[in-house]
Amino acid sequence: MKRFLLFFLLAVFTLPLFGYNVSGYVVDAETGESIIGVNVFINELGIGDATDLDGFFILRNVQPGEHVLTLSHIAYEDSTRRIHVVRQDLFLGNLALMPTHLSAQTVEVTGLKNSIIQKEVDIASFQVDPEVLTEVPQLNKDVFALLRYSPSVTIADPFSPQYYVRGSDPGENLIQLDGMTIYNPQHFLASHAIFNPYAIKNIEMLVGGFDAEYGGRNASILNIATREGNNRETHGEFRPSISGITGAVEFPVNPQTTAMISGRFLTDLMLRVIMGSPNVMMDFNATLLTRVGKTRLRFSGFYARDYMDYSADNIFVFFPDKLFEDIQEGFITNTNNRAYGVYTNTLLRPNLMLETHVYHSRSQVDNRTYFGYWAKDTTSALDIALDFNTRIENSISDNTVKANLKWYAFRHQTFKIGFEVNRLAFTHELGRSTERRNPFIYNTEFQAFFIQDQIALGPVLLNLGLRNSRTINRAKWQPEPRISMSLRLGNTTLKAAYGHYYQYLTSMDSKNDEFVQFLEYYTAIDQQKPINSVHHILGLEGKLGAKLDYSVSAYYKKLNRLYRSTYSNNWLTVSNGRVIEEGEGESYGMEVLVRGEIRRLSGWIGYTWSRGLRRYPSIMNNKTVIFDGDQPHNLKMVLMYKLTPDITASSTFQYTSGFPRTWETGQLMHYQYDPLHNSLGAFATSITPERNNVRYPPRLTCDIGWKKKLRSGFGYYLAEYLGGLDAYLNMTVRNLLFLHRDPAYYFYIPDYGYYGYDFEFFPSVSVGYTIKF
Amino acid sequence: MRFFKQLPLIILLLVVLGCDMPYEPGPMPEHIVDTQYVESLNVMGVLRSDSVAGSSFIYVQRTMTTEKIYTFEADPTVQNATVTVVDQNSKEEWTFQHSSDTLYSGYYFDSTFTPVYGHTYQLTVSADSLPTLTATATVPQKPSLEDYIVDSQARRASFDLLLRDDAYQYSVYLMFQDDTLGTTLEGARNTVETVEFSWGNGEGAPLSIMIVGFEENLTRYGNASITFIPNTYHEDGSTVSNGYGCFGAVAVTIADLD
Repeated sequence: MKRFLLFFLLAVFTLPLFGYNVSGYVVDAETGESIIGVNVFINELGIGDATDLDGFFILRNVQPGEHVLTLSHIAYEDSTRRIHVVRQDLFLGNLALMPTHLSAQTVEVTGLKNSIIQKEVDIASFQVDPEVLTEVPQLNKDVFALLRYSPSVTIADPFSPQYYVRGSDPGENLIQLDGMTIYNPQHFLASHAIFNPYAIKNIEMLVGGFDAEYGGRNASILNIATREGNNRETHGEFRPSISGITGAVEFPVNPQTTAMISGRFLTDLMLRVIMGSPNVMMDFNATLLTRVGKTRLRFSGFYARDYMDYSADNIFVFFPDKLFEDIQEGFITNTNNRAYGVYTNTLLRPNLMLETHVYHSRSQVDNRTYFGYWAKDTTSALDIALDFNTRIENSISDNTVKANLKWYAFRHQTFKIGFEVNRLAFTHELGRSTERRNPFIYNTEFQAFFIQDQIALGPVLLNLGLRNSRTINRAKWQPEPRISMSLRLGNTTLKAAYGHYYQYLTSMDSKNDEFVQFLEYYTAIDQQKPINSVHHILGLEGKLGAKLDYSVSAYYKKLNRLYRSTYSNNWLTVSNGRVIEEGEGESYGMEVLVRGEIRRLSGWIGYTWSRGLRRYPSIMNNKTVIFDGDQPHNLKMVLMYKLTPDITASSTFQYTSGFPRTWETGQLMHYQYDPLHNSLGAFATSITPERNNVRYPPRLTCDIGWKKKLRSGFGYYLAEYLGGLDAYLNMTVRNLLFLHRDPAYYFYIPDYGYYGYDFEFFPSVSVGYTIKF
Repeated sequence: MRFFKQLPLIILLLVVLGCDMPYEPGPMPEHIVDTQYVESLNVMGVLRSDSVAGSSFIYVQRTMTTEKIYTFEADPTVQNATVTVVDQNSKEEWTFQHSSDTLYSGYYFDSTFTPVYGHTYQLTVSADSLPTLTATATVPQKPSLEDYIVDSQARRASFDLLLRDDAYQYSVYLMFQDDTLGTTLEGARNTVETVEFSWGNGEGAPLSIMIVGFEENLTRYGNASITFIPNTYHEDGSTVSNGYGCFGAVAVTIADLD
């Protein structure tokens, strides 16, 4: 640690000061929205930068004199302007770029648009233009469906929205909307993300080796940024369907202020009408952005709610009386997520930027599941009985304050210092019963501060960071050193990263008790030592063509401390502490990603080889087992082909190793004791002495879709009638050629054997309209 | 454009051709860890400390292969086991005998056995060539009803129970002439807890209250994960060694209500 600090201080103070800073924001000339990934450069000096999420850029070490500043973005017309640098830093304000309006081009570049973001020291990220969500209909406009095509992501249960990043647990993924942590980011039952695709401006996932600025989760950081609004006129997009409506509208409030409101309201009519199960899924976003001088102030609000009351009684009415009178089955689930926050970004000086963020985020889950039957066996004193009741009430409330100061200090230096405080309140009411027990209520506070220095030395870019974190209940600060570097050699960049990560909360495993792990149940682990992992990453990036990039990365993650948290058996644990067991593991792998354009074809192809292992004392006496998301081979493709200026055909394809599951070696009866009658009931259950002892067959999914801009027909006239600007027809063919192989379970059927349970047995075709206005 | 015009036809053709392919779930999984099925004993033993001698029982079954249990042909009950219970405090030993009542196949009783509050008992079960199963359980102290109020007019009652720290769960039953109301409480708190009942017209007045304290094994097993989800690892909640199942104890208090 001393050597690290010494090197850090030397790097800060020994480098000379030359030139001045030129900074500004780049915005869309038509909407006023900031543009990410604009290349801003002075050709004759060989100096350049790319705009960040707020459209901000800064050029360092600009010598005094007249220069030509060039702004370039693949979806905008190039722009140049003459600047005059005298002996001080220069702030240019908002620079506007005109969109190209070439419809034939906008889709072709989709696969590449955001890959031009020059995040020089970012070694492991997956950035996608959200336009992919609307251009590839088979993704269902779902962020999580899109993430499954990242080479770094594996999944276990195909019906579950949870994902694994580079061999870590789902609870180690941080998901943020406009910088606010969202704790239950999926819609119940649908496996869909609760983020409206029409509201999204940018999707970016850091999958390892991330900067000291980021903490609290060890595996990945998913940042979803919402649109900022339009400062000229009202625009929007919506998609009506028989199950509900999805849409977004953005509009100017005043010349300095824009707003965006979006929402989705969906219900499953089949469940509602035929099965008599009321259900609703909804989510709403609102953003207000105002610019006051050099300050950008953004208010963000988010609310999502799911409700479903399912009872098999509604199906049993179709059968003869008393046939199912001793059977009951169903669930009632209520979830809601909300987040409100204020974010400011102030350019205090041309080389000094202050960011602050205050937000409240809360997630609540109330889930009751029941499945039971009772049959009197007249031939013995052992009745056949099953009484499966789980009641889960879980909530997490998060009040966060965070701020950082970014100082473009010397010629080669960019400092960033900041802090983050999360005040958290947890409530757990868990267990195998519907009886209300003592809720476990727990408050804590996580604290962190960080310092980071980015040093540019010719072709070498070095990022040194130190994050310190702790929970208020464990006073000891945990140092999290982070180092990353890149070496540019012509068109090729060599990258490396090393970092320590600590995490103070985890999610509980409900896989044993729910068919699909729909929901995350969070719990703090600050009575124990924090989850800890160490990342080692090596990467190589370069170009295969003018618009074709490649990246290769290898990683090794030492998972020094993990927790396995289950809510089963916690009649005892609610009073005596939760069932949290410490374990360890490791994961390693290699990823190859090729993305970009070849003529009319755009998209990406990724291949991953990876392994993940776990050890827990209570699972087979600490024996090493492969972890739930282990899929050694992954081949994934998202390809779009521009057939005509109006039509985009797309294909999504996955061929991956099957995921590991636990194969039953036998069966036994599990007994229930009735103390009132001093009698027994029993039901058959599985013997599972080994965890993850088999691997399912390889998984294969192959779907195609196309999107067509309409020039005539019903959709076109509907849009015209509604005052829309454009109408699109989306069409998807799933399970092409019956090639789908993705069963969630295998059931044993007497005289048949094991039967794969899958949702998509047959190919399906779906068609819908999207209307822009 | 020509390609686009032909594309739906090509897709349709491919789909139709695909219909000819059988849907197979694919080859069965390849075992990574080779785990063999080991046949074992599976017991449910309940030592019941109440006023009735011989109310304790040990129920003995064997495990089965997945294929066998679904055929409903094989009987998993074990009728020739040797079942002994030893009081660890007094060193007294009982041999439970298989019930002669065919209705109670697999049940073992000893009509002379009455467990003592606070005593620890060891169970040993052996049968055929199966591994010998052992387990221990401690009988909790007798549940204590500290105070109660029954208001038959208002059709409600409240009971103050002492939740002792050696019983991890309490079941409380309010008994009427033809009906019973029940509730469950988390134990091991060493506090006095008030339990309230209310009932509707037609129940009449409650006749008695039954309080059952569960020791740790029975509580843990009874609340264990009982996964019926296939292909999913779960702890079975067994509280015995060299086999499966539970050996636990309950202490029972029945109080008549004035």
